[in-house]
Formats: sequence, structure tokens, C-alpha cells
Amino acid sequence: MTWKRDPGLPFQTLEEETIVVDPRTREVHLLNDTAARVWELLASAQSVDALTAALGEEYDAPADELRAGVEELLAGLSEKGLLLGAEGR
Amino acid sequence: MSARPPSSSSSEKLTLSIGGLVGELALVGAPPVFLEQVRARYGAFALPAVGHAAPDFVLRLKLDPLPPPVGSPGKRLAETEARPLEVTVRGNAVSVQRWDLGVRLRGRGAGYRGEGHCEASPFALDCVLRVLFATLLPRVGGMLIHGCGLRHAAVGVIFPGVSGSGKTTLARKAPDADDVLSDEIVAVRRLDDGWRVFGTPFWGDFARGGISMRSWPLRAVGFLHQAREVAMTPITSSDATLRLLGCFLAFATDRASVERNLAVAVQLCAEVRSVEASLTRAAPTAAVFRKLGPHLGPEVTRKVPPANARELISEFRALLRKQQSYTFRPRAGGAEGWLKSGEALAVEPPGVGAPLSPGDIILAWIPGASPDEDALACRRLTAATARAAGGGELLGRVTLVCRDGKRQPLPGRVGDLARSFGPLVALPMLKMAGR
Repeated sequence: MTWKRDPGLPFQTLEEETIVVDPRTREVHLLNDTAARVWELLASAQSVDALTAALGEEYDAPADELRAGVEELLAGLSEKGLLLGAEGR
Repeated sequence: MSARPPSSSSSEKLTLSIGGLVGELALVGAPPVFLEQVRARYGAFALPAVGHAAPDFVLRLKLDPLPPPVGSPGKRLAETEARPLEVTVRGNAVSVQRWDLGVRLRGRGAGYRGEGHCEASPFALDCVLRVLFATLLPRVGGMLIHGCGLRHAAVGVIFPGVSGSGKTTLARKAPDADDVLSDEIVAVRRLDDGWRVFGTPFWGDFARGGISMRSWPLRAVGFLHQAREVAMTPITSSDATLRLLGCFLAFATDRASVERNLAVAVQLCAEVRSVEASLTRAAPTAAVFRKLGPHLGPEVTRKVPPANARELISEFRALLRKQQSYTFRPRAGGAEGWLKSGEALAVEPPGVGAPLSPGDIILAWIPGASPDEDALACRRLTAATARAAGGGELLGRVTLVCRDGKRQPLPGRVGDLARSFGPLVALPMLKMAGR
């Protein structure tokens, strides 16, 4: 399973955070610095493994902790309709 | 000559400047009573009804007769629920549809042109104007915000908030109602010298909007929060952006519009201080600004000039109407010949004193192609003058010359020069006295 951010959603990256607007629901989402980094990586399709590995090179945290965080974030973003998911790859 | 009764094809021009954005409307078939309502509501934001080189949008709007019963609130609510407002933006094409209105605009060259219809009710016209200004302002780096705007000394502050957050309460507590830019919707826009806040004719329960087109430097954004005591808590720009987007008056949901709106909001929140404004219902305005003071930046000790000549003349018109007389000193080169050192002119608005007659010296607002090219012209009224203002808007009659604080009869040289030289353009022409 891979994930990619919905390319139709406008967003703005501030210093560390990112604001994502969903015109369909008129909701605005504020992503903290870690979530903003994941959002940046999700410009192209990414698996949980790939995201965890990428964050592992940038953040000083245990892999299992990073993986749990990534899974929770992807679930949240997906639930809000901000991601496109694809099977395989 | 008898006055012609209005026909269904008669057209009344209404040119409005809100947030510095100029919209020219041709109201076709508007009943006289409706036009009176329009002038009363939007008059402070109306430019003289002469041609402008480049309004930002031009709209021909046919007014539909009101079906009986006239303006029943219950019927309007039901119709609006059944056929709500739909705003569609595709590139430079803007479409606004609701059960009582329909407008299409298309961007051409430097501006937008279009036509449409709306019910001859203040609600329908106000909706058209709110949508168009809200949609087009972000294209020039501005926006309409749900919020209360207040002038404080020489700066402006906005207090965004949703319904029930205390916007009207804040407006009602202002010691001078003229300092309220709006209790419902304010316009903000980034000009060369930074962000400015403008009053609008879009009001809430306060039932009055800004008094002129004059803008003020925007020093702080205070997001309203009802609390038990007054406090101002700084918030980060990202938090401010998030909150501001919730109060951003935006109707279009296409990606380009949303991206544009987002960019404007982000820039504003990055450049203007934002606080959470915790207020109590009873807190007086002075207490609010005492707490807000440290967040307003350096104290403004000099008078902040209007952003351009249009704002300046608009404020002059507002103050002249309010005070029923105004004394000022023209400062342009053309004025030096007909006023001696230390002299100022006294002006009274139309309707004060005797009716205008040939020989009177009048001041007229002559709009230019751009806000900086607007001018105040001094003319002698002649019997042959078909339109007293000579193509502009009659602001008032020059009645006296003031010297050393004493009012003296209008000397002949003022009238002679007005006759000899025609319009004596005075820009920037006012040394404000009496504000």
C-alpha cells in the first residue's frame, strides 16, 4: 500500500508548519513540523516503510516509534480525505 | 422642463471603492425608493459619477421588481435554503447565482466586465457586492474579513470573529461611532507602505459602516475570545493564519482561488502582529486598547497621511458632511496665488445656507484614472453651468477665508482666480483641521 497527498489540495508551508486547505469540506488543517515533513515526502507515492526510513535519517527516534507515528498520521490524513491511497508497489 | 419618470431601461451609475477596489455598476430599472436606499447605504464609498479610466470591474445589473409580499423575511429564508448562493470561478470567469440574483463577470484586460440581474432589494444587492468584492480583492492582495474594525489614534486594528463572538458589542462600545470601520466585515489590503484596513458598507447589527474610503495602517489582529477578564495573548503566525482563514470571507472553492486566499492570509499573518483578544462584554474600549497597546508596535506620534488623494478627499467629504463646515488650507502650487500666507478656506456642504447661485465658488471632487490622480477643483458657478460640479461631485461652497482664527468675507481674488484659471487643482490639498 502506498500513499500520496491529494494534488488538488492547496497548501502553504510556513517556517516549520504547513497549512492545508480542503475546499470541498471548507476545512483547514495545520500540520506540525514532523507532519509537514511527511506531507512534503507525500508529493510522490510512499509506503509506510519508505516514510519510516526517510524520517529515521532525519529524526533521532527509535524506528518502531517512528513507524507508529507515521501510521497514525497517515490514518488521520486519510480519514480527513487529504491522501490518495494505492494498493501494490 | 418636467422630470422624466423612470423607465424600465433607465440606468443609474454607482461607482464604489471598497478596500481600494473600484466597481462600477449600472443599475438598470431601479425604482427611485431603491436608489435612495442604495445611496444611503453605500454613499460613503461612492465615487463621483463620472467616467474612470480603469475601474476594476464594470457590472450592468438589471433590477427585477420585488414580488409581493415585499421582502417577507420568512419567504426569503425559505427561498435561500431551497436555492442557496452558488459562486463559481473558472480562471477569469466569475459566476454568482442565487434564487434572487444572477451575475457573470469575465476578466478582460485590466478589469472585469459583466452583467446580471438581481431583485430590487437591499439584501440581494448587498449579496452581489459582498461576493464580488470578496472574490476580486484577493487578486490585488487584499481580502474581506468577518470582523470588527476599529480606528485607534492613527492606526487600525481588526478583531476577526464568527457570529456571536462579540464584534457588534465591541463596535457599540466605541466612544466615537465614526471610529468603527465596520462591526461585521472589514477590508484589508497590502499597499506599498504595508497592510491597511478599510471600512466597508457591509455592517451587522451596529447598522452603520465606515464613514469614508480612508484606510489606516493595520497594526494588530485580535482574534475575539469571550472571557472573564481582558487579556491579549500573542499567538504564532501559523495559529493566526488558521484562525484568520476561518473568518476570511471567501465564496469560491476552485483551487486557484483557494491558493490565492491562502497566500494572502499567510502573508498578512506573517507581517502583522496577532493576539488572542480575550474580552469581557462590559470591558470599555479604553481598557481593551490599554491591554492591546504593547502589541501595537511603536507609538504613532505623527499624523498618518491617507494612502492617496482619493482617500483624502473621501475623508474630507465625510467630515464636511458631519461637521456641516470645514476649514482647510490648500497646499498645492495652484492655491498659493489666491491665498495669502496664513489664510485658510471655510467650506460648507450643499444644503447648508442659501441655495447655490451664479457667482458662488464651489469645490468639486474630480476623480482621476488612479486614486492618486483624484483632485479637488475650485470653480466659480455661472448661470450657464449645467452641472454645478463641472463633471465631478459637488462637495461644498467656499464661504469664507480664515486668517489668524478670524473668519472674513470671501475676498474677490479667490473668485477672480477661480474664474480666470478654471479648476485650481490642489493635490495634496488639505491640511486637516478639525478632525
